[in-house]
Amino acid sequence: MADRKTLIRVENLTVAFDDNVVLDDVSFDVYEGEIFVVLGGSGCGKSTLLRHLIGLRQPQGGSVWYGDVNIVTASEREYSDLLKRFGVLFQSGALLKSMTLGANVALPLREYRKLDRQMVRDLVQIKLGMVGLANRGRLMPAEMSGGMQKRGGLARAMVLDPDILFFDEPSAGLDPITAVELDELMLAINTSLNTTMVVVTHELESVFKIADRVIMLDRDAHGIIAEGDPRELKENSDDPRVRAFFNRERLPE
Amino acid sequence: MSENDFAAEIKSTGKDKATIFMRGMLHFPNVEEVRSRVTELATNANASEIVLDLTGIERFDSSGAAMIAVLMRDLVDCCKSLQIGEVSDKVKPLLHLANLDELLKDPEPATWKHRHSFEVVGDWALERWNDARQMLQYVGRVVLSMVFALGHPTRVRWSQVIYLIQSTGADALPIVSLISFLVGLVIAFVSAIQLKQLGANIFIADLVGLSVFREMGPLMAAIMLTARSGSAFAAEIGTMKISEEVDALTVMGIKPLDYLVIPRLIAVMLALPILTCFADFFGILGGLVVAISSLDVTMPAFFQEMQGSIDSWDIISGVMKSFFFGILIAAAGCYYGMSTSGGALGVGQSTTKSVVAGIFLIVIADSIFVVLFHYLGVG
Repeated sequence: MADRKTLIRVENLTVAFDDNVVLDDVSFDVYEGEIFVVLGGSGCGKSTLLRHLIGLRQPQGGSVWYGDVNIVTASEREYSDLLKRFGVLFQSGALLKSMTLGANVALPLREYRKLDRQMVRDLVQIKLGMVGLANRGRLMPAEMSGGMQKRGGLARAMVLDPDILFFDEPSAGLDPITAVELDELMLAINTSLNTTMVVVTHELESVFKIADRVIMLDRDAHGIIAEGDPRELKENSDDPRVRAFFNRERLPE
Repeated sequence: MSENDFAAEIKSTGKDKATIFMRGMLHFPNVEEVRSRVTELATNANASEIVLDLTGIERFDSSGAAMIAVLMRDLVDCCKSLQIGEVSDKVKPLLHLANLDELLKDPEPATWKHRHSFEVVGDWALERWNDARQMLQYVGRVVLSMVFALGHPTRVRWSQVIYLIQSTGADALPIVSLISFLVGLVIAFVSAIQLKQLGANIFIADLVGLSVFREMGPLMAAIMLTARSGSAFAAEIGTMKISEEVDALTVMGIKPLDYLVIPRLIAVMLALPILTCFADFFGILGGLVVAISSLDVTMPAFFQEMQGSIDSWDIISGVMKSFFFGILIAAAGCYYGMSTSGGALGVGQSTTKSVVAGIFLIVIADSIFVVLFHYLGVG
């Protein structure tokens, strides 16, 4: 991996809620063009880590570098420039319920640049087509199923063709077929647009299908207990916690 | 290469056919500039068939794909056709994913259709009729639940009732007192000018007393409670409704009406009359301040005059009215909360409706009371 360009560098990140330390001195790199998965059981700090990567929360210590910009100490201008390179799919899809799907997807376009209306409409259609929601732009979020809302959220997240897409539990609440479709879509976007993806999940099937590299967080260790190729970790890890997780076994007390 | 670097040139490549060679960046930051440049080349070309050569494109994103779709449509309008010719490897995967053929083939069907005005009015009337039926059903259920609660007082969640009396009554005391004081002050101040001219300063006590005890005290307390607590009930129950908490109560065998509505109804029913007493007191106090400061009326004279013009029924009728206002405020807040649907937007709409309906119902009820008391000879 040494020859690959580092896109995100996390150094000594420490996060705590009052006295409760969630992440302690966590460091890792995310390389350009890879699908990087953050794994771990419930309550280990996966989603918290994601919120710090995208600058929604300030950590107690450490830094998150995008090139030479540290998002923890970035100025408002630097942060705003960084956000243009991000797309985030939240767990629920987070579509704004007061507007149609099409208007939701067009929202970032209208925010960042004045484009011709027809071009906005076509761009929205292209993105909706990519996520399998062609011609559904007039639906209100309340009229859509959970899976559709999530795909709609993905269309909105990637409407600006971001360098990095963040996913918070993309398969949560989806049926197996829709989950597989979403995985395939993520792979297609990754290969065709070379978009770097940071995915937080605990769905093992999805991990083996999409992940280039994973890090595994542990609640008791307050940090990373394994890093590397998921298939190799499953077979060869020395850590019983990692093997137990990949083999869906309970650790003996 | 900067993010806006782009060049295009056109060459004739056959009879009635021309190719536009594009080089550089074709992405979000420069898409409008590229579009106008290519449109200019294509419309000025002496050919009806234009081919886009994208082999020289270094960076391409979805807005580039959208631009090509827009160009294709624009050129059809000037009787020209646009096709995509050779493409670079940087363009090919995205163009494939964007699926322009599908985009151009299937414009989104318009769902808007013309509706006859009779249809619109009919739909509106039917909706209102359904609303009225639902409201009537709700009132019926609430009355039944209330009767049940009175028959089985141990089944009422009294701890919740006490908490709600605190949050709707005691916590509202400072703002209700302040507003009532100011309203009393304003009434007295406005009348003071007229009374002074007539030399009838002392009648300020009758005026303030009657208007505060009969109308302003109960009304101001009720309006404040609608804005403060009726809206809170609608928002709280509405959020519970959309997050399926109300459904969870139902499937656990707990009636949402008994669990959520009845405690609120009892709490407001008890809290509002007490708040009204405070509103009366502070309203009179506001009037007294003006009487002493602007009209040279002494405090004993003020109260003596007031005693002569106000009887106990004036005070009791105001407090009694507020008891009914309380029922209306809680019922409206809870009704709109329970009928919430459609997410955050729905909660906002319910809250607005609960306040509008609450105040409307209070004013209607007040008018009925005034007329009723008048004809009963007690008003």
